[in-house]
Amino acid sequence: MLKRVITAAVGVVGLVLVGLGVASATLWRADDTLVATASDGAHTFVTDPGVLEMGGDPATVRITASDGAHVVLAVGRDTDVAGWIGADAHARVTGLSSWHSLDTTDAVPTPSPTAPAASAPAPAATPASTPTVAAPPKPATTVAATTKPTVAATTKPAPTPTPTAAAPATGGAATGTAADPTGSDMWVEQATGNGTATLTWQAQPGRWSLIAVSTGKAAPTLSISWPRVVTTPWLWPLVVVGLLLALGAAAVLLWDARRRHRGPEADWTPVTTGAIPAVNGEPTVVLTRRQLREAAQARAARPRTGAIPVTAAPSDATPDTRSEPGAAQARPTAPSAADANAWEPVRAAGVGPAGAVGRPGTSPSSLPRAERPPAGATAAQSPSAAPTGPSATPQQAPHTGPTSPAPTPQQSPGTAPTTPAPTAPAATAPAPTAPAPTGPAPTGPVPTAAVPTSRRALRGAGSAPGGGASSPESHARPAWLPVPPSGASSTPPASPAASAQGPSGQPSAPTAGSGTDTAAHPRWLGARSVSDAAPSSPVLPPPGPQRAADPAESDQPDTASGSRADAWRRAWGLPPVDPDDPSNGEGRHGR
Amino acid sequence: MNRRRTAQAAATAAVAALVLAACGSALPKPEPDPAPAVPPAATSVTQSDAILTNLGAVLDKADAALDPKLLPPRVVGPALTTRAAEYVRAKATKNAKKPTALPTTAQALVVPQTDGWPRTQLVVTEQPADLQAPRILALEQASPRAPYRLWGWGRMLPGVKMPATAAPDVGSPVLAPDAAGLVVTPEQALTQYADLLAKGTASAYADTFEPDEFRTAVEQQRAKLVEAVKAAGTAAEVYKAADAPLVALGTADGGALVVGTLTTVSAERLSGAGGTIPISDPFYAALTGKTTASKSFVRTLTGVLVMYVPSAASGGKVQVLAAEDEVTAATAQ
Repeated sequence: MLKRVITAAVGVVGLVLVGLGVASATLWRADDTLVATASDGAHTFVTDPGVLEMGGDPATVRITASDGAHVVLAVGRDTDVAGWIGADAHARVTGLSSWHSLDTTDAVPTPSPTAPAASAPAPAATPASTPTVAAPPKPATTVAATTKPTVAATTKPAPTPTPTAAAPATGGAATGTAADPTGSDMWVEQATGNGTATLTWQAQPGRWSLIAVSTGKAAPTLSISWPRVVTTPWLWPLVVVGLLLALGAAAVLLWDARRRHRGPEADWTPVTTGAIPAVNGEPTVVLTRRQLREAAQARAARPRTGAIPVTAAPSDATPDTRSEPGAAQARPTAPSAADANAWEPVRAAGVGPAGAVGRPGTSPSSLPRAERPPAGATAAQSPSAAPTGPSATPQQAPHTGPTSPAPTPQQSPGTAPTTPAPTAPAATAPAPTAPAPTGPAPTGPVPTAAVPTSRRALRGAGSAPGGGASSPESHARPAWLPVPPSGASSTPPASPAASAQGPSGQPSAPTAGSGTDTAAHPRWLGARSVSDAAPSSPVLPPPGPQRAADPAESDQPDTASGSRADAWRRAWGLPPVDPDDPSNGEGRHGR
Repeated sequence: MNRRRTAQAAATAAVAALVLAACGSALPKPEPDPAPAVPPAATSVTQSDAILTNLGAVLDKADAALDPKLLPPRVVGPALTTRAAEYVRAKATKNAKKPTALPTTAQALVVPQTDGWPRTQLVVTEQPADLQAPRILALEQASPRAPYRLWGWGRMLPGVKMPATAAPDVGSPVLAPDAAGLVVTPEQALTQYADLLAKGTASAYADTFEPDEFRTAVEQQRAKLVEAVKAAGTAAEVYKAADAPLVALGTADGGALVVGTLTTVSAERLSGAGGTIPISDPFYAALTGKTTASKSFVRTLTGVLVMYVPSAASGGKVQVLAAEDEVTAATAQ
C-alpha cells in the first residue's frame, strides 16, 4: 500500500513538473517587451550612455505629458547631450531600478549662465524683429514643424524650423520649465509632439544619450521599452523529466494492478530450493534429528493417497514433495525395503497377526497404508498415546507374558497357523520392521524404561502397542511380546530372533506372497513372514544370517542395505543415515 | 513516511527554484562603449549634410528677400556681415550684382574631433552653377545649444590643391592657435600673411608663403587705387588679421588648415581742398549714403582666409587656399 502511494505520489510529482514546465513557458513566460518607466517630477530626462541599448534593440522611447505640453525626445552623443543640458536641472537615468522602473538620479541644478546665455543673445535678438517673414516653412526640417504651433507661433513665426532650436532655449524658459532641445544639429534622432512623442532607437556603435523634455508644467512620464528575447530553458527539461516520472509511475501502478488482478501466483510459483535431491549423487544435506523427526511426523500425519501436500518442513523437506511422484511409484516396491518406519511395527504387530483374517481380501499394499495413518497418527501425534501404548504392552505382556516368554511365541505360532498369516502379514507389514519395534519392546517388559530412552524408540514401541491398542485385536500383541523376551538385549538379541523367525517366514512367504501380492512382495514377504513365521519356525537359520546381518553388522548392512534405504531416502529427499550417528540407531532398529 | 516527506520537500524545493529562476535573471545594466580616447567627429556626415541643407534653406530665403535679418539663425560673424553687405549691394544695383553664390552641397568635409565648444568644420562645396570656384565654408557652433552657423566662406584660389584631410567620420584634430610642429603657428600664419600683404616682397615673411592669386589681386587693386588717387591725395590699405584664427584643423600630413579673418581698411584721402571723390558705385553710395566724398573715402573689407600651413618637418610654404574679401562698410567724408 505504501509502495502504491509513493508511486502515485511520484506520478503526481511528474505531472506537476510537466505543469510547471509548461507554465514556465506560458503562464510565467517573461514579457516579450521590457518596459521601464520613470516619472519623478523632473521635466528633463537624460539617459546615461548605454541605457538606451541595455534592454535590447531597438529601444522604443515614449514620453507623455499629462497636460499635452510640447514634448521632445532626442538622441545624441553623450557628450553633446551633456553639453546641451549643461547645468540645467534634469533627471539622470542611470539604468533600471527594477524590471519596470528606470533608475533616476536628480542632477543638482547649478546656476550656469555660460552656455545657454551664450547662445541666447544671438537668436533672441533677431527673431523679435522679424514677425513678418512667417511665410515659407522649409520642408527639409523634420520634426520641428510640429513644434512651431506651440512654442514658436507666438513669439517667432519667421525663421525656418531648425533655427528655432536656438530660440526655445531662451524662449522655453518663459513658457515652460525646461529648455527645448528641438532641432539641435547634434541630435541623431528626434521626435516631438504635443502631449506624447515616441522615438525608436536602433542601436549604433558609440555612446548615445537620450534627452527627453516636456516644456509644460506637468512632469512627464518617460518609458523605454525593449524587445526581449525570451527563453524558456525550463520547458523541455521539466516536461521530459515530469513525463518520465509520470509514465514510470503509471507503468508501475499498471503492473501492480495487473498482477493483483491475476493473482500473485498466476504466473509464478515461488520456489525455494533447498538441497536438491540427488538420486545418484552424494548426499548433500544431513538433517538434524529434529528435522527427521518432524519429517517423519509430517509424513505419518498425512494420508498416503494421491498427491502429497507440501509439508511445511524445513527447506530440506521440500524436495520430498517434488520427488514424490517418482517416489510414489517406487513405493509399491520400495516399501518392501523401506518400510522400516516406526509405524510398520504397528501393522506388523497389530494388523499383521490380528487383522490378518480380514485383510487378505483387500489389497494388502494399499490397505495397510490407509489404515496406517490412524495408527501412526495416534502414536506419533499424541505422545500421550505413546505412554499408553507402552503401558498397554506391559499389560498385555503380563497378560500373556506372565506365564513365560516362551508361551507367546507359542501363541503366535498358534495364531499364525490359524490365519493365513504368511499372506496377511506379508501384504501389510514389512516383516523386518517388526522385530525392530520389538527390539525396544523387549525392554518394554520394563515399560518405564522404554519410555524414557527415546521418543522414537517409544514411538516405535509405542506405535506398536498403540497400533495394537487401537486395533481390536490386541490379542495379537502377545505374538510380539514373545520376541522381546527372546532377545533380552536391545537389537542384537532381537535380530537373532528375527533371523530366527525370518527363515521360518520365508518358506511360507513365497507361497502366500506369490499368491496375493506382486512380484515385489515376495521379496519381503519373506521378511515379513519372519515376524509371523518366526515363532512358528525358528528352525531355519540360513536366511536368518542374512537378515541378522542387518542389525548385527551395523556397518556392512548399512552400505548394503543403504543402497536401498538411501534410494528411498533420496527419493524422499531425506539424507542418508549416518551409521555412526547414534540418533540413527533407532532407524536401524526400526529395520 | 520519511520518504514521502523528503519527496515533498524535494518537490517544494524544485518549485521554489523554478520560480526563482524564472524571475531571477539579472536586471539589464547599461553597458556603454568605453569613452573613446580621442573625441569623435563632432558631426556625422549626415548631420553635416543636414546642417548644410538648413543653411542653404536659410540662405535661399534670405537671398530671395535680400534680408540680412533672416540670416542670423544660420549665418554669423564675417559671413553675416558680408552677406548683409551683399544684400545691400544687390539692392543698390537692382540685383545686378547678386550675392555670392554659396553652394551648400559638400564636396569634402573637414570635421573636427572635439567634445568642446565652439566647434568649427570646413566644407568644400561643389562648384556653383556659374562654374565659379568652389567655396570653402566655415561652419561654427559656438555653444552647445547653438546651431551650426556659417561663419565665413572663401573662394578657392586657382591652382591650389586641397591637402588631404582625415575622413569626416573620423574627424580631424583641432589644433591650438599656437600649435607647434608647423612651419608657423596658426596665429602667426595670419599675422605674417597680413604683413606680407602690406609689405609685399619686402616682408620678412615673403619666403614663408607661396605666391597666391589673392595676394596678387590685392596688390593689383591697391596699386590701381594708389595710381588713381595719386594726383589728389593718398591711398593706403591696412591689413589686419585676426589675433587668433577661428580654427586650425590638422591635415593628414601633419599640417594644418587655418581659418581666420582679414580686415582691410582701404582709405583714400584727398590732400588738397576743393577736391572731391566721386562715389559712383551705387553700392558704395548706398553704404555711405553719399555720392561724393570731399575729404576721404574709407572702405572696410571683411575677408576670410583659409590657409594651409604645412608641418615643420615637411618644410613647405604656407599656401592660401581660399579667400574672400569684400567691402562691408564704407564711409565718405
